[in-house]
Amino acid sequence: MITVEKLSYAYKPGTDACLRDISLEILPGQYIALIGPNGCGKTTLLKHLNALLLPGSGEVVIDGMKTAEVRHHALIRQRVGMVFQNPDNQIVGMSVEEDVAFGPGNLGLPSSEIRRRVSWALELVGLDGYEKRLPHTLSGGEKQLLALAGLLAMRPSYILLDEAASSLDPAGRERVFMILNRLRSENIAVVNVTHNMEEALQADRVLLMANGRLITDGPAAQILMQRDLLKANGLVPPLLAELSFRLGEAGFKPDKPIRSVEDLVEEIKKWCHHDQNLQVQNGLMSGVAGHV
Amino acid sequence: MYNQARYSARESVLHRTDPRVKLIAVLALSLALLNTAPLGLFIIVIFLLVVSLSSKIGPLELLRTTRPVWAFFAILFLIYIFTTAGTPLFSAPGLKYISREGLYLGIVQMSRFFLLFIAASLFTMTTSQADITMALENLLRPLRVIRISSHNVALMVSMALRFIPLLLQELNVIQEASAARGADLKGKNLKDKMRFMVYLSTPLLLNVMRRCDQLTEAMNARGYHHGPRTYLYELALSRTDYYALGLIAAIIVVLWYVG
Repeated sequence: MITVEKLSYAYKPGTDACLRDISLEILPGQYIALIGPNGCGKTTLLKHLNALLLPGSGEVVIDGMKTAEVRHHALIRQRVGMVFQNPDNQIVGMSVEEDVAFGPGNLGLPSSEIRRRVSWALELVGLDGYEKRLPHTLSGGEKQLLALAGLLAMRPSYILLDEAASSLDPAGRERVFMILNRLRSENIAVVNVTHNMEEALQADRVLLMANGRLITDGPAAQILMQRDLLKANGLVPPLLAELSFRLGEAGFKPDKPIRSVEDLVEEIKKWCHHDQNLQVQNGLMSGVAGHV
Repeated sequence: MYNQARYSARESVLHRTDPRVKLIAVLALSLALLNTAPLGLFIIVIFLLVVSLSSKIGPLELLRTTRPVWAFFAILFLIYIFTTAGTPLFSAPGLKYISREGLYLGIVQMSRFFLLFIAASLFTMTTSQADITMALENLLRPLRVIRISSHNVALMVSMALRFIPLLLQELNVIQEASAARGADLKGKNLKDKMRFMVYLSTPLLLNVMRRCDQLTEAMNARGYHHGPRTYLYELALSRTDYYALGLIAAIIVVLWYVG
């Protein structure tokens, strides 16, 4: 378990704090979306979870190890893996397989085990057959998958993704989330920093940050449907929230809170079975669809 | 040089030879080349020709790798023939005479550098960059005695090699961004181009510094530390490698013998 207790941090003493009094817990197997406007402290918080930054005040504890104690750093970085936004700045090896082997090599694993992990990780991200390729010859999406493979080969218990899927095409994103789902079933926790609210909707839990503070922490479906809260913090609500809101303006009153596409479809079906008064507003193009 | 002498994956004895053996061979031949007579040079030519054919790299392909340094060879040759005193061969009006000794020295020195270049190209064309750094890491291990980490040295070399294409891409992006804002260099004179390169160096340097910073963080996040580490493959000398070492030793002895 990762425990963050009253964490505050400023990059330079005397300057404004980037993180202010943050407390949270991350349990094994949870999929968490970390959202918030640019500069709100998301990346700074992630770096604390990997012991790349050390708390100014408060503490971060990874499976019982305090990040403030340098002697734990090697083990913490084995347990908590992180993929950054720009894949070019995190690829170390001169070939694909050599890059994936960098982390396991740092752990001092025998060559046979490194080879086994490299081949497993490359197959998992769909880069098998690319072993001898030079990293700079890969596309942006392939480089990001390579960075993910490098992290997976370390077999971490917690995975931190700092907008790691932002450079992927839809197929690549789908592949990454398929992999993450598989990892969740193996009790690996994932914290995904994202600006994509549809992506965040897939999470179990959402952490919303603004101005270095944790504004709210709760189930994804509950937080991401709060259109006004998201807008107040400079975020664009997911399509589902926007649709529910617009339907509400047209008189749609669901019996239960809408938390997924399935909920919305079910409530609309119920609504359609009742007698409806359709209001058509001036200046609004309305469409009526159905089947014979 | 970068493109021509790049590693080319093929199935050959030389490709399979341990990179440490190849690196030692290149270094030994380079030292021998500096002080060998024309007969020794002839022996090295024959040796490199046989090695090139056995590595399935044709002599012409090998010769092409030297193209970027032809100008350097020419300048070297001219310096020797015009600056070496001795028996005049012929002289032209307005030119200093060309001596027999100068011509001889020019040909010999140019041949030495040429063969050195060919040997290095054979090495880089038959050894992947990963293998080169691994060989370097292995051969520098004794430096641990004086507290120099062979792993760190090898990592620095590998990083430098890995970042060359990336920096070229970066420079290209900055040039394109500048051109998009009207700073197009096409048709400009050398002075303007030089001034522009100075102007480009600031964003390039800043980007390099930023990349270094992020790379350090990424390496730390992946558990990088100064202590010993393990590798994907461990190098092990085979019987063929021992034969190759023996052959190199024999050639060095012959070269020493013929002077």
